[in-house]
Amino acid sequence: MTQGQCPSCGAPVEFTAGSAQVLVCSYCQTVVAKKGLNLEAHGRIGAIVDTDSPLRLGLEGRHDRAPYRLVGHLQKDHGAGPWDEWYVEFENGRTAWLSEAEGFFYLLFESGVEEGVELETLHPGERFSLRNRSFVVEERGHGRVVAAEGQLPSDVDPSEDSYYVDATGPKGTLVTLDFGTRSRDPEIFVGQRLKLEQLGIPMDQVRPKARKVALDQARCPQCNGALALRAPDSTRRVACPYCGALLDASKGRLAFLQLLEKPDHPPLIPLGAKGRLDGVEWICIGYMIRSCAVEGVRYPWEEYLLFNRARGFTWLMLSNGHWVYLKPLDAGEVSLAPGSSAYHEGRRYKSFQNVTAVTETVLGEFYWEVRAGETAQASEYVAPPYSVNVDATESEVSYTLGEYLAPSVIQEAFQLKEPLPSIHGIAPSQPNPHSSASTWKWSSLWGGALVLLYLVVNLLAANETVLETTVRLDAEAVSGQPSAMRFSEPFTIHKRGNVRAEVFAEVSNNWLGVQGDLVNQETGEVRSFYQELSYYSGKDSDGSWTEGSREAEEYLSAVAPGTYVLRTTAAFPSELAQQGRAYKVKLTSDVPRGTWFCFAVVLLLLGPVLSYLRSSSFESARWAESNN
Amino acid sequence: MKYFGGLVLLLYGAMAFSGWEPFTNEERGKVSGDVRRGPGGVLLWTGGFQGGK
Repeated sequence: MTQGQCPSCGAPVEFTAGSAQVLVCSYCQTVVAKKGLNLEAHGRIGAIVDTDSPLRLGLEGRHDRAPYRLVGHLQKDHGAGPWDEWYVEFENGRTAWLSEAEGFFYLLFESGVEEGVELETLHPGERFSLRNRSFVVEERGHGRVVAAEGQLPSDVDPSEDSYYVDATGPKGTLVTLDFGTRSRDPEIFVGQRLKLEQLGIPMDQVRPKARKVALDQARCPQCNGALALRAPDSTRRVACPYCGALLDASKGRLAFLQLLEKPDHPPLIPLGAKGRLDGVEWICIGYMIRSCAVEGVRYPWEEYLLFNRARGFTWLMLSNGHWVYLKPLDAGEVSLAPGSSAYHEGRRYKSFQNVTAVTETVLGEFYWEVRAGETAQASEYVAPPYSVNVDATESEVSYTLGEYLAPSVIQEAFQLKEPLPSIHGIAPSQPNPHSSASTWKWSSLWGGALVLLYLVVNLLAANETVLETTVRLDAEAVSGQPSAMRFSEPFTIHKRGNVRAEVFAEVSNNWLGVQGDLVNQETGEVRSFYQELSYYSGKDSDGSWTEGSREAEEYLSAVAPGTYVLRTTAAFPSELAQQGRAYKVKLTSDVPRGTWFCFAVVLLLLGPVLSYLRSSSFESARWAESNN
Repeated sequence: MKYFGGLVLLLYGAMAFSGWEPFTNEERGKVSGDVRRGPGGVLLWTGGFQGGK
């Protein structure tokens, strides 16, 4: 511990943090540096201005069970209001930096200098590898330290513009590359995104939100309209609903920026409306109309910014009556092949479109420095009902994970009384209502059962030849008369089932008709069939030809078991006499029919095929809107 | 498809086990009671019923 007097004002100063090399005199804001046993004055630095940060100097917390203390505090200016960073010293001597953004905290540990990495090569959205880990640049910027308090590890120079790159990796990893004044290789800081509760600071120790009170009763500096701010701690821009003035809220008070065109219709979800989505109660705080132009045609859509104190911000997007719920996503969580596909948590998203999105109208509160007319390159990758959306500007890229929601979900969640706009066209991430997956699943299940049943039917089928007889007619037999009639020996059908009757005759350029009467000897019931065999052949200018067949078959339906006799009566032309009037009849009982099995398979396939056709048609209509 | 597949299976099972042939050209009838019986009581007749022809 080093104690002494401020070389500038003589006030007592004390180094309590072993890692600190400078401290800021709390009386005169002089930066006091340790030089051996002496203290040196290194100029003055601005005093900390009040922000909405819940942290304060001297707070103690625990991270991974290791106790730490906030010993220093810097305020940087990146051109959008003060940005707080806290110097953290652990009890074991380890040090880190703690910063806050969009309701989350980033605890970053110094990880040495990385040689050979150049600032110019790191653009937002770009993927790079650092120490065998893959990261995606989310932001590239520069700023200077404008104010400080407490103890710090090194000198601070308010005139020095410092360049940095923020990038994210898998599992919430964040890396900051500090390039200083660009004259050196970057210092690497690696850490994790944490919630306030994860900082291990007793909640009764965190600072009350002074800014909230100040902005809670804010009035528009342009029209003096009362503004009820719903997220004053995080709001950086406010668009006045009365006069359309866009106001800057980043400095703890509202300052006029520009006059915006008011939207031509009020937001469908009113600002201030509360609704429950994803198990969380959200409050709608912002409304934007954005658009893109494709081949000269303007395509507008609406975005609603939702806020929850514990969960931060999320979005609802409305386009052509379709709603998409968008959650922030770390760029490092997504593997991207620009213009082709994106991968996130094992799911592949196919590139749908890439457009230049223009912000046309804003209303309400926003956590970033929104401007009317600002443009971003918006890309969408879809795996219905989900989508990965990438919004990239010159200095920043943000990723969101979308989920398609039915309008009724929004209507119910926000208890909206007015009907929501009806759906037009197909949304990029709209689930295919004709998806054939379930139909295929059921068809496969029933198909398997059908095959089993077919095997059982075949195993149990009698398939028994009950009669096989050859009939030779006398030369005097007259066609269709009793003289052409023959009776078989009695035979038995053992099992109820169909009966296949096959007739064969060696006819050549002639015909033979056989009337078969299967008569049940007990009941006198008759089952009759008639088969005509004809077979012709010859030669003509095209060569040889044949037509007809020497065999035919008929199936008799559900023949009862019993003793039967088959009466056959032949019909024939007179010239058949020369060829001999003989034919063969074969009766087979309980024959398994492959035909019916095939019919059943076709019926089972009808559903999936129809479903596939409808699904394909839907997908064709969807992808017709893609510009990739 | 959940229920339609079951219906198809039922229909196929019913057809397979009953031997029902929906598209047969068979004719049904009954011989008159006065036809003569041959040896062993076998029904033999040479006229009358022509299976509906």
